Amino acid sequence: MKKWLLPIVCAGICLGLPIHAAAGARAVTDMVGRIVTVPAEARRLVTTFKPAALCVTALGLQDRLVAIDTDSRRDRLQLALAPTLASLPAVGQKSTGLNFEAILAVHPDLVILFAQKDGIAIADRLVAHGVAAIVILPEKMASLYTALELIAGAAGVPQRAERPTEACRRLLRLVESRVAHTNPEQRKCVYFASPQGIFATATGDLLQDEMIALAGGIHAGHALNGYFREISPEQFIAWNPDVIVFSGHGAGRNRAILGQPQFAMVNAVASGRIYEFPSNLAPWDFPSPLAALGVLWLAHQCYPERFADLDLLAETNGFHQALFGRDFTALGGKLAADPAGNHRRPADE
Amino acid sequence: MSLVCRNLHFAYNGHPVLHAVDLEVRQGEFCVLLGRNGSGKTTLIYCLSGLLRPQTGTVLLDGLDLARAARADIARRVSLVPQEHADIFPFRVLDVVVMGRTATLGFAQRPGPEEYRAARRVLAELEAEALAERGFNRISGGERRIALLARAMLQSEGTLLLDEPTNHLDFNNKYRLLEKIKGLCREKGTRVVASLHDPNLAVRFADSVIMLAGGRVLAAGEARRVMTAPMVSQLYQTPTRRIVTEAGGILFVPCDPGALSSQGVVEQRPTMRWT
Amino acid sequence: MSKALTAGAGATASSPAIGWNKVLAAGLIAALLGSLGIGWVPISVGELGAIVRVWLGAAAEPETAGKALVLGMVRIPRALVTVLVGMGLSAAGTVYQGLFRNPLVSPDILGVSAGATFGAAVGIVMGAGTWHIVQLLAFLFGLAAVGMALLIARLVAVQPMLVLVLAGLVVLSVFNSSITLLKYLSDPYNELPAIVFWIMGSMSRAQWADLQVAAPTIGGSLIMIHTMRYKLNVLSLGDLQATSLGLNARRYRLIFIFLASAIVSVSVAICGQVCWIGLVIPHIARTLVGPNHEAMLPVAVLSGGIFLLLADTAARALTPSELPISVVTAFIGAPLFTYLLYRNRGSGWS
Repeated sequence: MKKWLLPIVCAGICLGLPIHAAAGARAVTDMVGRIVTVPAEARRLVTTFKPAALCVTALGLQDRLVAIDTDSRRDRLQLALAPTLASLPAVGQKSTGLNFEAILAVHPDLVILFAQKDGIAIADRLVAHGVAAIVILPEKMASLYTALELIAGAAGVPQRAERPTEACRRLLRLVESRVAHTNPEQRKCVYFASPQGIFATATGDLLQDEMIALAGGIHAGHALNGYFREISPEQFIAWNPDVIVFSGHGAGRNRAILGQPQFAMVNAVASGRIYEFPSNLAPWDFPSPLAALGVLWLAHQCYPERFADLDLLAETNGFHQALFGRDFTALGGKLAADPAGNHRRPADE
Repeated sequence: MSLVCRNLHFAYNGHPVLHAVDLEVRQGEFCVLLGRNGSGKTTLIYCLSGLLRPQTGTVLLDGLDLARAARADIARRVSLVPQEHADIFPFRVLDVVVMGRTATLGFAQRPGPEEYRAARRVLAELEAEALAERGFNRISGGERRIALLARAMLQSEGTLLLDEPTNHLDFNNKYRLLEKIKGLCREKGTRVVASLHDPNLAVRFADSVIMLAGGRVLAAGEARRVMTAPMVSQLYQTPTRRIVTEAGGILFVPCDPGALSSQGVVEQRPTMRWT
Repeated sequence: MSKALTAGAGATASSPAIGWNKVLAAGLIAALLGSLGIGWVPISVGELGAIVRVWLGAAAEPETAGKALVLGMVRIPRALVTVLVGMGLSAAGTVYQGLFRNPLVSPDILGVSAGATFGAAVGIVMGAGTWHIVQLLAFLFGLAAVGMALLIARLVAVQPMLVLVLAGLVVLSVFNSSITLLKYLSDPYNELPAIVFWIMGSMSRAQWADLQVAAPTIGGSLIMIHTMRYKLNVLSLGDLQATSLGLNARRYRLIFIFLASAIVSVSVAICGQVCWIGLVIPHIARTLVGPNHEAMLPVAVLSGGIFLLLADTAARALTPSELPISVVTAFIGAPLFTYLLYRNRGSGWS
C-alpha cells in the first residue's frame, strides 16, 4: 500500500502548488502588444536600461530591484537615493547587450525591457523560462505615462503610478499656461544637438521634438524622421535656430565648433543662447519622468521673461521630492549656472 | 675579368644547401650547371646574382665583391632570367622588357623614349618584335621566356644568369633559345651561367660545365672533356651511355636494363630514387 | 590616334593617358565649381560678385554676408578636403595594390583605418576638450597600427609580403576588438553614440583647419608617390625580380607604405572611414589606361577626387539629413566594380 502512497502525495503536491501560485496572477498587455502573465505582486524586479530604472525609482519600487542595468549602477541619482544599488548584480545594457544568464540567476519575477534591439526576443525567451518579462516603449510623454502605469500595474501596485504622473503633468501644465498664447512669429526655433555630435540632431519622431513643442518652441529638425540624424553644417546655418541646446558630454567640443566664423551669424550663436541641460544627476533630455523638468527648463531658456519669477531650483527640488522622496539638492544635485554671462558673444562681432 | 666564386657555403635556416663551391666563368664563356633536382643549382644562381648572401665565401664579379656592392651596381653588371612567373598586372611585353633599365634610373626617373627604343631593339635582336605590344600574361611560356631574356639583355650584357631557361619550352624553342644565348656569348662577350636539366643540351652548347651533387661540385671544366659517361651516370645516378654521332655531336642516353652494352656488360636498372 | 603613336619608335606608354589626364582635370574643375553651387543655402552665380567683395573686406547686408560665410567657410573647405581625401585614398589604394601584388587589396589592409578609429574612440572616451585632440590621436594610432604590422612582419622575417598581410590582419583584428571593447565600456548615452557616429564617416566636419593639416600631408605624399610611381611597376613583380633588376625593394616598400599610410591616417582622422575609394578607383584607372603605373596613377588620383566629390555632393544635397558617405560610395562603387570585373575578365589577371 505504501508503494502508491508516495506517488499520490507527490502528484498532489505538484498539482497543488501551481494552483496556489497562480492565485492573484494576472495577464497584462505590454506596450508592444504581448500578453504576459505577471504575479500578483512582483517583489523581484530587474531593469535593463536607464529610463526603466528611473521609472522604477520614480514609482518608489527601487527596494524591490534585485538586478539592474550596468549603467544605472554608476548613475549619481540612483546611488544618491539608494547607495546599496551599487552592489546589485548587473545584467548588461540594452545598447551593448544583456546577459541572459545573469538575469535568470537572480530569480526575478518581473523583468522590464525596451522594444529596441533584441529586447522583444529576450523577453520572449524569459517568458519561455517562466519569468514575466514586459516590454516598454517610452518615446513620448504619453507613452511615458503608459509605461509608468504598466510597470506599477505589473508590480501589483497600480496606484503608485499616480504620483509621478501627476508631478509630470503639473509641471507641463505650468509650462503650458505660460507659453500657450505665444504667437507663431514669437516662437523660438530650437536646435537640439544629440550626444552623437553637434550636427546630429533629433527628429520629429523623438521625445525631444515633443519636449520643444511643449516648451513653446519650434523644433528645427521637426521635418526629419527616424532616430538621430546627421545634417550638414549648411543645413544648420539655413535653419538659423534661435536657441541651441546640447545633450551629453561633448559640450566643450561643440562650443569650439560653433565658435568658428561661419556660424557667427546664426541667431543662437550671435546672441549667445547656447545651453547645456543643467543637471549633474540623471539627464533631463531622454524618455524618463525627468523629461518634464527638461520641458520646464527649455521653456525657461526660450522665454526667460515669462519665467522670470520661476525659481528653477525650487521646482527641481519639489519635483524630485514628489518623485523620489528627497529633494534635488539633498541628493547632491547642482544646477549648472546659466551661462548667459560666459557665452554671450557681442552681436557685432 | 671573370665571375669568380670562392669557397661558397650557403644554408637555408641551418639546412646546408651549398658546400665549398668554387667556380670561375670568363668573359664570353657559356657555363652550364648540371645536377639533379634539389642539388642547389637555383641557390647557386641566386648567390651569383647577389640575391642570396652566402654564409661563407665570396662572389667577385670583375673584382666587385657582391656582398658589399650596392644593388644598382650589381644590377648593371649581372642580370637574371628567373623561372616562369606570371605577372599580376597585365603589362605589355614592351613594358616588362623596358624594366631592364630600372638600375639606370634615378629616384624620380622614368624610362623615356630612348629606353623604349632600346627595348624594341633588343626584341628585334631576338627576332621577337611582334611580341612588343602583346600582353605578357597572354603569350605562351616560350614567348615569355624570350621576353624575360630580352629584359635581361637590356639590363646588362656583361653577365647573364638563367635559372632553368628551357623548362616548359618545346623542342624547337629550346634549341632556338640556347642558340641565341650562345650567339650572345660569341658576339658580345656575355658571360652566361645557366642551369639545365638535359645533359645533351649542355654538351651541345656549353663551353664549360659544373656538375653539382648534393650542393657540392662533383666536377667542373670544359664541357666535352668533363662530360664522360661515368661522370654523367654518377651525376644523375643513372647508368648512361655516351654516343658520339657521325657529325661529331655527343649524345647521352640512359642504358636499357638487361641489354648488352658495347662492352658486353649487362646494363643495370637506373637507381629509382627521387630527389 | 593611340595606335599610330605607340607603334612609333619613341612611343612610351602614356600617350592615351595624357588625353585622359586632360579630360579628368577638366572634369575635376567642373565638378568643383558645380558642387560649390549646390547646397541648402541658395547661392546663385549672380551673387558671386557680391560675395567676393565681402571676402575682400567690403561691408554688406547680413544675407549676402551670410552667403559669403557659407561659401567661403563651409562649402569651399569641404569641397577641397573631399577632393584631397579622394585623391589621397585612390593613390593609397594604388600603392597597396601594387606593393601587395593583389588587385583586391584596399588601404585598410595593414590596419590603418582600424588604428585611427581606435585612436579617435580613445579621444572621445577620455573626454578630449577639442576635436583636434581626437584627430591627433586618430592620426598617431593609425601610424602606430602600421608600425605594429611592419614590426610583426619583421620579426617573422620570412616571405615578406605574405607575412605583412597576415600581420596586418592581426593588427586590424586587435584594434577592431579594442574599439568594440571601448564601446562596451563607454557611457551608453554619451560617449558610445559619439564613437558610433564618428566611425560612420562624413565630410561634414571639414574645415579650413583640417585643410592646413591635410594639404601638406596628403599633398606632399601624393607628390612623392607620383614622382616614384614607376618603381611601383617594378615592385609589383615581386621582391625577387625587383631586387635582381636593381631596386632596393625593402627600402622602397617602406617608403611607399609610410606615404600611403600617412595619407589614410590623416583622411580617417579628418572624416572617419570612407570605403570603396581605395579599392575601386585604381581599377577604373587600369581599365582606362592600362596597368602601367606611370600612366594610371595620375588617372586614379584625378578620378578619385572627382568620384568622392560627386559622392559627397550627393550625400549632403539629396536629403535634408546627410547620408553617410560610405553608403553613397558603396552604392555606386559596388556595381561599378562588378562592371569593371566583367569588362576586364579577359585581360589576363593571374
